[in-house]
Amino acid sequence: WKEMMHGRTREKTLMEIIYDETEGTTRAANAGDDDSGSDSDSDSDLFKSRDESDSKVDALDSFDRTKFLPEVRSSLDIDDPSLRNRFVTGDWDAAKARGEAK
Amino acid sequence: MPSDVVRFTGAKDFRARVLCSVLSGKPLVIRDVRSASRPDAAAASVGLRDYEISFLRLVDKLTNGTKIVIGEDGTSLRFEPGVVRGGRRLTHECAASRGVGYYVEPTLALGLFAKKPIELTLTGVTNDDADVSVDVFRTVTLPMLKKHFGVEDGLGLEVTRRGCPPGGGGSVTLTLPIVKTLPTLDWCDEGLVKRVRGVTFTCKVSPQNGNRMVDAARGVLNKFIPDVYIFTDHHVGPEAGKSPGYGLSLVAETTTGCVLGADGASTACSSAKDEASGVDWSDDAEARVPEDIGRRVAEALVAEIQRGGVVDSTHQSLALILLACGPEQVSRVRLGQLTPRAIDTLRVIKSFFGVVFHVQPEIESGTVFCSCVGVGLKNVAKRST
Repeated sequence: WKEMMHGRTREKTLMEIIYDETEGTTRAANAGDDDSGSDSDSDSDLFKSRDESDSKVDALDSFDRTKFLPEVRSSLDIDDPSLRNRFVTGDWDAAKARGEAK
Repeated sequence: MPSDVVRFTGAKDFRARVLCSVLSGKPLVIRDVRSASRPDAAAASVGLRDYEISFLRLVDKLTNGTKIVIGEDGTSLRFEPGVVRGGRRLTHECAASRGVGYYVEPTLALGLFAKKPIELTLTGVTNDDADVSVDVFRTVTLPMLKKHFGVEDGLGLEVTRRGCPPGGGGSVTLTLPIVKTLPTLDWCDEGLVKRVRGVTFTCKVSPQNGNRMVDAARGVLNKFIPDVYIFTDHHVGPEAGKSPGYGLSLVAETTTGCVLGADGASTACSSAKDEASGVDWSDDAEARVPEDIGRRVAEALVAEIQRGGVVDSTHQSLALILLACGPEQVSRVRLGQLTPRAIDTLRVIKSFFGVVFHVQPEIESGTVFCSCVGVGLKNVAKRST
């Protein structure tokens, strides 16, 4: 049941990350990006250093771009065996399981 | 009504804000756009950029009765949307500091709800690193709209001239039909990648560069799939634009008809280099050769495939906006890990339409199920047949 509870909190966290408007957008965007839902970090928002407020301003004016080529590419794990199953040359059963996962 | 005004701070996600403002009919106020409070900011970097102004002008062209008031110092904007008019033989000169993709993407969503079908010629930079290139737009965005959003024939993007940064000089013609409503979507089946197609372009450089990019890209992709075919497209004379450059775009098609794209170019736009200097743009590396571009783009495509989702990271935002405009039934879509831009778009959608997406991560594959009840946007100009 712990697993389940964990899953539930995380799910809530992602929604919160996205729609929590009072929170600084910087942190929310970053947390959403790495998908690890670091709730504990949000406490440190109370103590804003100079640097942090700078980066916050940065995020408010962040560059409006469509492509995230370097970011996408840096997360690539080309030796991951499950990657192969995303192609028709891979294992179709594994792909089916993935497709049906909820 | 003043209570309807939606207020934002900062330049973030500018296009999505303006786009949603027009679609929802709610006025928009943005303040503190790159305000001077930043200590390192030079005076020139305060306020709205030329490409944002250019985008506002484009929206003004496409609509009737739009009121745009920009504050004296350029850091505040009041935008009262009008009616999307559309029409034929429109032209717009895009600021060369930004790719045409910057303008094309929101225009697409606007155009579907216009009074008349749009035929718009845009001039400027066709391929760069920050925005969706015209190739990916043609081979990914338009098929996606056709296949999944049920937009009937009449969609097209014709590239008459290429333009690379910094000079630009490209020209594309976008034709868009209008729709009555968008369909309800349950679009969760990613399928398996069955083939990869691509096209390289070379402008004012040796055509050999194209083949070098193809070779490098195949080197990455052939480990996964044999069905890879990449065209090479060489341009000379006026159709090559004003600056030399080359680039590659790749498209992966899956068994369920999803298309994922990735592309890159040899040069980056000046706005990208000015504003997001932390990012690894193409010409940051002094000697970036065609092999590098080929490999980069191919790896980016494989990474998109690994992230999963029915659309690639570039199209998440557009897909979410179109879903939110859909009918008042539950639509569902499976996306890869959300990009920062997609998250911003979700927020913008909430503030304009009041549509809250139910976001449910699927931990095993790292994908996210997004479902929402649309606002049921209807285009009254379109006669029902």
